Amino acid sequence: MTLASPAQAATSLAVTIRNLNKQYRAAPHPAVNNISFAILEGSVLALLGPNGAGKTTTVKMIAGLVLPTSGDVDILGCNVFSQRAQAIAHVGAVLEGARNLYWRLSAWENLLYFGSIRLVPRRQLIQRADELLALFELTAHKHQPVREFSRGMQQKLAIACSLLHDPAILLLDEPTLGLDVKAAKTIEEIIGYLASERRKSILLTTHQMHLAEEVAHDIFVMNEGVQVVYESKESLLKRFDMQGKIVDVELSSSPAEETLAQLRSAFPSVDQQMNGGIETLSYSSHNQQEMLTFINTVDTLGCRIDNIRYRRPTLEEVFLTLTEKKTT
Amino acid sequence: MKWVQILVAEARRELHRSVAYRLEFVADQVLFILGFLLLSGLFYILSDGGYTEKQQLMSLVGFITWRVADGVILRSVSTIDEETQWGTLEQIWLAPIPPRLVFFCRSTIILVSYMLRAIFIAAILLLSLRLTIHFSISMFAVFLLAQFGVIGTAYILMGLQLAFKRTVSLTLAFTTSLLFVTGALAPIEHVYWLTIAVRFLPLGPGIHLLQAEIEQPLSMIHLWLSNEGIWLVCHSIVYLVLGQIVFAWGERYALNSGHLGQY
Ligand SMILES: Nc1ncnc2c1ncn2[C@@H]1O[C@H](COP(=O)(O)OP(=O)(O)O)[C@@H](O)[C@H]1O
Ligand SMILES: [Mg+2]
Repeated sequence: MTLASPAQAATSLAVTIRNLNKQYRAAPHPAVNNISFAILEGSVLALLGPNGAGKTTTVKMIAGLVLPTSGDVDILGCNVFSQRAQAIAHVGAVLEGARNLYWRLSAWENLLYFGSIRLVPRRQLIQRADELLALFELTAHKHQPVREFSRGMQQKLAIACSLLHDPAILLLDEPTLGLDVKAAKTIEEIIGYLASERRKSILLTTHQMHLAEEVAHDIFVMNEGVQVVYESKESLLKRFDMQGKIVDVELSSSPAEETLAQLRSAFPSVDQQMNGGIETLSYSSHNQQEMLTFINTVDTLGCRIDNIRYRRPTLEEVFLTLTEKKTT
Repeated sequence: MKWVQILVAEARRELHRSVAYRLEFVADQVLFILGFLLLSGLFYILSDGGYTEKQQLMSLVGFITWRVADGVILRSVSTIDEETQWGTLEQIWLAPIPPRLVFFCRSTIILVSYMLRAIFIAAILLLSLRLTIHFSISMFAVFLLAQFGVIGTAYILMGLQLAFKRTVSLTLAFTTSLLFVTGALAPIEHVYWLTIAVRFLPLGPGIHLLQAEIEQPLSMIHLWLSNEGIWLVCHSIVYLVLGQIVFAWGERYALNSGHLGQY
């Protein structure tokens, strides 16, 4: 795989990481094992992987918060480790699980503090802080202590604080972790807006494939510190699309245990789940005939079929296939 | 000009923090006032009336100086501990300036904040014990110099906290023991080895000089020409330099082991 991201060509690189390794002292295995990738200017790269894959360590190395055992990170042409101040001036980061804010202080005081230590000139800082509060719909809570905020509001403010110096690059480690569906949706929209309207280059790590599927251009999947896949989202989904489509058979009521057992013996990989309150049987195959047989069997077993849909696999299903293959 | 902006930001943060923690803030002052009154009463009883006004003043000056140092060191170390949990420490490391500059400004603001509290505590104690003190410029100079050495000490302990984490209770034990071993409260002349050791300990020479000035006021010129004055200057410089070295080492260690954030 070449360093230039597979998504598009001819744009310049915002972040380049080369042969990055991290072995924590006293850890049995390297947390990050020789990975390389690039983030194009104005694009979103989703770094995916199960717990302990090395995502957070990678993000922190890019931000210069963890020193690698070997390898390099360049941010808009500046090396993070040898030209820290210049490189870091282009970066905003919201790290995983942490508050990233002073809870006892108000939203406004947080903005002023973090803008000041980033050396944003005062007049500009006040103007930006107000703009960001308005953009994130927090103006009404400007002088409220952050600890009284909901998780979603806190996360929005943390992102606002990381944008005060108008960085070209934004690193978001699990930005929707622990948020309710509505708040997660808002964060998702913000990320989309920042990438498409503000041309930010964004690296995000997430467990929520839905988020990556919505906003990412490129996908980097890692597991146990090593690269599993590095590809544009489109081509990754297309590749899996060619390996097979999925048919969702929606039923009007839950099938009996017995029926399900019979179905499973004929089609071991059938997946039963509730999809938005609708009982759904999913089956994946590259063979059209086999799919028809599946639908027929469901029908002859006496299940009442409401709807039949063919679709591509979701990123989540692709991700599970990829990481399972790797671990087994 | 960078540091002015950071100094202002730190001052503002400290002010808002004090307001947010106002109950704790008031309780803290009351605790120290009552603590000193209690100890001083105890000394009075134990010494069977031999606890003179001069000795009371010496204890008071020692106590107040220690109180400021205790505040500066403890707050500097616990701020690193808390902010590691909060993730705000990593945000400080994401600023395009050396973090030790932020922490120097922070320690300076903490120092000013504790000096203001000390003035308040001292005033109340002087009034309630009916003592008067002849405060001189040279005493203030000695006090400030001693506190610069304390900032150096805070840097050393912050470096250790960065590297090893969970050093706050050790730091607390350390600052508390300083109250007794430096002779801040009660004279230590009867323990010979301690009188030697205290010259090297943080705060030791400063408290010694301040108490000597109660006994016999010194002019600025005499102060800087005395062996003790020169020793204090060297002592503070050595602690400041040591602080920078240990802090830099701790920072490096934390960057290698991922200790800037929660893990
Ligand atoms: N500071 C640290 N010290 C030692 N080991 C660590 C540290 N941080 C992470 N690890 C280990 O490194 C591996 C990768 O962790 P992490 O980067 O947090 O993965 P992820 O974010 O993908 O869950 C894990 O096995 C974790 O236990
Ligand atoms: Mg993580």
